[in-house]
Amino acid sequence: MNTESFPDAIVRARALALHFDDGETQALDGVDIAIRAGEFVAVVGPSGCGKSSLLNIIGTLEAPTTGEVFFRAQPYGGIRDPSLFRRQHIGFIFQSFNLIPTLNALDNVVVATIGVPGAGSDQVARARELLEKLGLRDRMAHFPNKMSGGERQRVAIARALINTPDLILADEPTGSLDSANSAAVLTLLTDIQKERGLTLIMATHDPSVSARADRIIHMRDGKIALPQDPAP
Amino acid sequence: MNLLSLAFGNIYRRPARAGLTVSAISLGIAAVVALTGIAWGFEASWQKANDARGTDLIVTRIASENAMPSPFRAERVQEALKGYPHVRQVVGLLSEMLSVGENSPPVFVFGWASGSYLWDHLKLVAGRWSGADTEPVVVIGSLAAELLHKRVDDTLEIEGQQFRVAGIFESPAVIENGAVVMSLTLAQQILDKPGKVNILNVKLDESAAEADLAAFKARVHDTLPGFVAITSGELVGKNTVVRISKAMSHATILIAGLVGALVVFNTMLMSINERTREIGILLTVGWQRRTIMKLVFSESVILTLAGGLIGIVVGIAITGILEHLEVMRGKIDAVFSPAFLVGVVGLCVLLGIAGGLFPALKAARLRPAQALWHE
Repeated sequence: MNTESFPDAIVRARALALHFDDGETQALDGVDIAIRAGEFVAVVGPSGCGKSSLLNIIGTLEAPTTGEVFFRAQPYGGIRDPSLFRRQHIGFIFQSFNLIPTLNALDNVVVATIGVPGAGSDQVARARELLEKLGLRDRMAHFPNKMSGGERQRVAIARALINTPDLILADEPTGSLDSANSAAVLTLLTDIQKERGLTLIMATHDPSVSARADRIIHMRDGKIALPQDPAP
Repeated sequence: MNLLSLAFGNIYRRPARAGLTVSAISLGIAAVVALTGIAWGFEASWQKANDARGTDLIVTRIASENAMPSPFRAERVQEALKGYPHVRQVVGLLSEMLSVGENSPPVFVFGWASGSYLWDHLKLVAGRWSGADTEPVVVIGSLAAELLHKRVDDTLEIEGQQFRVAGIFESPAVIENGAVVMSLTLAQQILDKPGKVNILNVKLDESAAEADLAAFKARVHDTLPGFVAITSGELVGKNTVVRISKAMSHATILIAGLVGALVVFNTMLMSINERTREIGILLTVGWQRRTIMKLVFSESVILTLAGGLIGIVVGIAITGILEHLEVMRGKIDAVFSPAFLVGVVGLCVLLGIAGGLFPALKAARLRPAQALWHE
């Protein structure tokens, strides 16, 4: 695709490639994408098509073998501290929740603020507020092993939001949930995305999930498979 | 929740491992505290004994490095020293550690010149002082009386001779409290060292200044070959036993330090390997690498500090027990200066940092994408 046709893109990637095993495995192969600020974009495709790798690179969890990524026109190569960049701009949600098992729900949210200058009681209050909003008022002191999948994912959503990111990267966030919880979590996410004007990039292979996106990017074998749906 | 409470939580979740690590460190620190306290106490006891007597300078043989320098014939040197400026008294002292009767622990036996200033600091608590130089009586310290189960008018057998206990005294120095004191003449007689002393104690008049002490030392060096004038601190510093005990305490510090750092290193490395995914989560949510390092260092320093504080208490307790053992009473008087204890705490912090360094670097260098998938 012509990424230059999205002049207001929050994320833009050009000719992204990600190789493993000395080039024998190509997780991504010449991917070009552009995501507008405030968009909900679903990245769909079969397992192993490169969805997670794409999200990892956009989230600075992984560096591409070749190619360039820009965040609001700033090249990723110029980011001095990727951790700081993630904390300031990106929230992550994973299929497997990735909560810390020894921390309760509240602490699992607050933990993302440790090391933030000036973090303290304000962040605890904010974490409580987020959890309450996500329907976990009575579950804050519970540990992940005492919570349902839907509750865990809502804690993960609160953690992703605690540092007020611009961009949420969600990797199969409903993949471990039953259909009722899946629908509830998806509704929560999209509501929050609209309400806060966040950009949401979600990897999924569930058509009912991708159907709610503003735009769908299809991937196959590490490449963009089909022309993308037009941006709204 | 903050970094410190998270660190405590991480330690608390593996209580057996944390307990073993803290135990190993506390044992090492206890050994350091006990040995160093005893070594310094040994030095301080001897110095306190010399200082309590009010001696300004000690004249002895140059090569003497025993707890008490080797005996030498005193008359010529003593006469020479009496002619030095500011000298008020030159008093001989002879000492030996001897068994006093059967089934009794060995005690120090001091021979002090009768009527000299050496006796002035002792406080008589029972009986009387010895009279004539050759009267077969001794005075004993309160601790010696307790250890030897002797009272005034009891008899003591020393080197096959019977002595009556004329009095019991107390001294500011534990070494003297555990000792038997007699006249120098008697001591020379029973030890078969007529005319000999271990040291000559020199008391200067009150007008003597630092420069006069230096001049005295220089004059001894120039006019009395083979002899040296030193302060009590310098004498104790030359003492081989003090040196050996200090060397042992230094070796213990080194070994305990190495073992402690290795134990912490092993514990933290295991912990980091087990928590790879968790560290991946923290990196993903925006923890900076330096915050990860701070977390690991906090955990390792908490472990070593806990071990250190327990070790200090155990070390002091062990020393207290040793001091009260019959065989050791009156011989050690451990010293634990605040500066030393602060130094031990500082050592523990260093151990934590040293042992946690590699695990902290390893944790901070994890790549979040790989760490997240670590099982």
